Amino acid sequence: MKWIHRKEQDLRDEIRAHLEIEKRERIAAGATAEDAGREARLAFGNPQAIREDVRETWGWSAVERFGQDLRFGLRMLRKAPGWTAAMVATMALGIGLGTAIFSAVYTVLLAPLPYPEPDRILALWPTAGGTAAGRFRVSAALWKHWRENLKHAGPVALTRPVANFNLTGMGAPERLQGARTTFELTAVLAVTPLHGRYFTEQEQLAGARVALLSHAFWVRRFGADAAVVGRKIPLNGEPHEVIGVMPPGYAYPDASFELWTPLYIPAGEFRHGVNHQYLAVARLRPGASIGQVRAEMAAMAPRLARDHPDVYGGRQPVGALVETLADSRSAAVRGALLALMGGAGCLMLTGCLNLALLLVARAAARSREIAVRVALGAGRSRLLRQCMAETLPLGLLGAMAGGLTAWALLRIGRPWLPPDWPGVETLGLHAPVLAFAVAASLATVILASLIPARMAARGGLNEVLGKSSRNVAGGVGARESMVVAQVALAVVLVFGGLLLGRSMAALASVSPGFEAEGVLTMHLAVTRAKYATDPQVAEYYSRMLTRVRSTPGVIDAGIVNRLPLSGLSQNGGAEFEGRDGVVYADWRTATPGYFEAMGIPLKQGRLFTGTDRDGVPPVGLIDETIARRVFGDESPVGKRFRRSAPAGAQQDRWVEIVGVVGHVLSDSLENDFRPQVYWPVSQSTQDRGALVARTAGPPASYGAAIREQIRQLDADQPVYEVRTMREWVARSQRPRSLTTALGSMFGVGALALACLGIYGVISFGAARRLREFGVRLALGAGTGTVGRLVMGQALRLSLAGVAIGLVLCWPASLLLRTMLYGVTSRDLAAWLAAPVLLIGASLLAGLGPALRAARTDPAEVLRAE
Amino acid sequence: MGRDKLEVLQGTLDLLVLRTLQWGPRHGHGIGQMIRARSGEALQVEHGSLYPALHRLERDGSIASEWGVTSNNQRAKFYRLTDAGRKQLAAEESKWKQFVKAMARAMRPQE
Repeated sequence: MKWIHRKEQDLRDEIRAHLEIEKRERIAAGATAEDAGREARLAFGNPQAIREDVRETWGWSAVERFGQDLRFGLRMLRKAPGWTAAMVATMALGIGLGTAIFSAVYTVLLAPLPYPEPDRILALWPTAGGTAAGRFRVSAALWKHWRENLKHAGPVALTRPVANFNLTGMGAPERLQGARTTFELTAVLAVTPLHGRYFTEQEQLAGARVALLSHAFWVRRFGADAAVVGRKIPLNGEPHEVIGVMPPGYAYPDASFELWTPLYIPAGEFRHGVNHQYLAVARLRPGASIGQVRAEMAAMAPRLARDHPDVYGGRQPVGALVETLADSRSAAVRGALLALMGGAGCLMLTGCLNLALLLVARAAARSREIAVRVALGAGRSRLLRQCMAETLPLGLLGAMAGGLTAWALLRIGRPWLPPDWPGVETLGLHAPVLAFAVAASLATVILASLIPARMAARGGLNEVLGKSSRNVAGGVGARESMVVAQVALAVVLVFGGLLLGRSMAALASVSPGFEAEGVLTMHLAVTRAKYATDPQVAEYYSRMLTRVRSTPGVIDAGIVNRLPLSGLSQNGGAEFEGRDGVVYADWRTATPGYFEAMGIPLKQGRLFTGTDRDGVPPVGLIDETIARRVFGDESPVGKRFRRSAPAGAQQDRWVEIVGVVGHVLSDSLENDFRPQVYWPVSQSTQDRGALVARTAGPPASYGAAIREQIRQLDADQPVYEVRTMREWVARSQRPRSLTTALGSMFGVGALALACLGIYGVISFGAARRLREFGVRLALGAGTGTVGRLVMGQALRLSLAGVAIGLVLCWPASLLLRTMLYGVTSRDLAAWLAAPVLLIGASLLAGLGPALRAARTDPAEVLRAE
Repeated sequence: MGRDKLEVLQGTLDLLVLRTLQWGPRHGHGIGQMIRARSGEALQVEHGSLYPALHRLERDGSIASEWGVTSNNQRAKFYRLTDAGRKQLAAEESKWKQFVKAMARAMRPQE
């Protein structure tokens, strides 16, 4: 407003100066000073009116004009509610889906980690055989080697993410997700506790009984009371001093962790090749680059192989994968996310083309009006401005609808997201995400409105006014190519959706190796301070199972150290007496009743029984895969196996194979990583496990009764993650369910949009040729001929689109390759079904206009001219 | 104002202003006088048209203005031609010549 004030003052000065100059001239010509002033004013005219006219030319009125156009645009939207609804629905679909996907991409791939200089925090992973395929965990010895030899990165912190803490003796028992870490972690992440302090090197080396709490746990359990620092809390039956509380946002290794304690590493563990169970993170030293660290690691590998030939020598020299912590966190989902983003982008483009088609249709209807405006002197920029003003409200409406759709999608979709997706808890409509929604919708509308504006500005007056209203086609070619593009995009999206859907279907027929139906599971960890010896733990389990089995409706129950498909695993080598080689297998310990409860079939020999206890000859089970691989046609029963250990280390005892059980998919239904070997819990005790119970009725309804049995046995026993086995199976498939659902949505959405586009263009084209049809019918053509003419256009458009789409399917199938299961990117069914679906849908869309054209009454049409 | 004085034709004022400024910067009053003088006192420029035209031309970038002092040491706002204005002048001039020719032909008495 200041600017307008200055201009106003300037104008007054200018007029005053003018009058002064003229007065001086009149005086020079002989008038008196008084007359000269009056005459000058008279000659000048009404300054008020002149000022008014001048003001008109200033930019201010341009703003006003834009406001008028805006109001006009709103009026147009209100006048055509159906048209407006179609536009807004299209945008809600395209922008909403795009925004929801982008918000996932943002939180997982783009949002920075909540630590200072996050791109200087490195995750270090050992690799074997020079392949960077998997991210393997690091051993204490390797960490020590890196820590002492890396010059460009440091400090290097080590974390054991699997550490359980039973919080007991403070009301309801609770199991906490905790990690043990070295003292360097706080320096690597550069985060200091909100209250209190992190533990020191001395405390770490001594394995001091101190603990740091996560912010969420502190708020939940201690009501955000800072006085908790210094208090002692009982963890696993031993008092631990709370020495600090971490700030909100601190989430290492991930947001589920609630507690951190010092990592005590026994001196005997610093041996290469044992206990690959740790995570290593390091901070880049000032001035160093990630490339330098990679070079250092590469230089280290041959030396390690030379010094430890039995572990790293031969075909598998140890290398290291060095990446930023953020990359490491998102590595597993990046491919899927980018593919989804590509799909969402294609869908948004299809939607954009639809908007453009609708706008072009309207512009064509108004082309006479626009031509008249051009003839009356409306400039190109003026026309463009008007076009924008009319579509701007539409863009904002679309952004709003898209934002709401995205919000709803996120709300609905969030529980379906796999919980181990990094940053999933912060998923939402963040500012960058909202900016994306608004920018996308405005870009869509403006792009879509530029096409008709350009067409209008190009078409000369004569061209438009010279034609009768019926002939005003308004860029038929442009429209047809837009529809072809839509069909092509739809083919790609339908094809992708089909591939994903077929993968899901293939997966549905995969048997996990157990009977998931009718099984309830729950996790528990024994407090070692209470049950100190292995026989005590085994005895405790046995009493617990007796109680659980006595619950009415429970058919059988057992305990296993790691539940299949729960995401937890324990594995290593197994070697067989008298046979060469090591089989990499899941190490499982189970109680009697586990196989019966889970429905894992016995193939040979016998299962574990109550007589397999401590002090009697040790036994074990193997699965059918190992039986076949190691023993072939021979019966494995009576043979012996043991855990494999490096030469020179203490060797495990041999156990006798008493039976062969069915093979189980324990990591995922999609990948079969390892076979299984089993020991009885009574002879190979672990203090953490999962209880499984087969029930007569719906398993979920037995949760309370079984928990009550356990509570009666030991009121301090925490039980967590009470879920049916069916639920575990579904959870393991969540990422695929999600991508498949989205992929199908993209396909269906694109199909619908393409149909709309074809319908619009065909029916418009048919309306234009109504006169021609009338003439043809009058001259004796059958109604079928006319209908065929219209359908022919639909077929021509869809065939062109399908041809282009099929070419684009090839790169799309390569992008999807990692997300497929049971089908390949050469899947014939998808390659055939996508074009057939599109052509069928196009013909369907063309049917309405064709029938209408065939019903043309020649007399009426010809008279109307 | 005499009877033989002509109103400036709609649309030609811009051309006249640009043409006038070709000889150098001038203030509003000066431009008006110059047009009158060069047209042999035949063209009368209303101030009510002149000032809006000047401001419009300035907005479009054809002319620029700045405050200065006249030879009589009086303060005034001086307008001058910009490069864009020079181009516009050339274009408008040739258009104008075509227009005049066309008018002359059209107004020729019928044979």
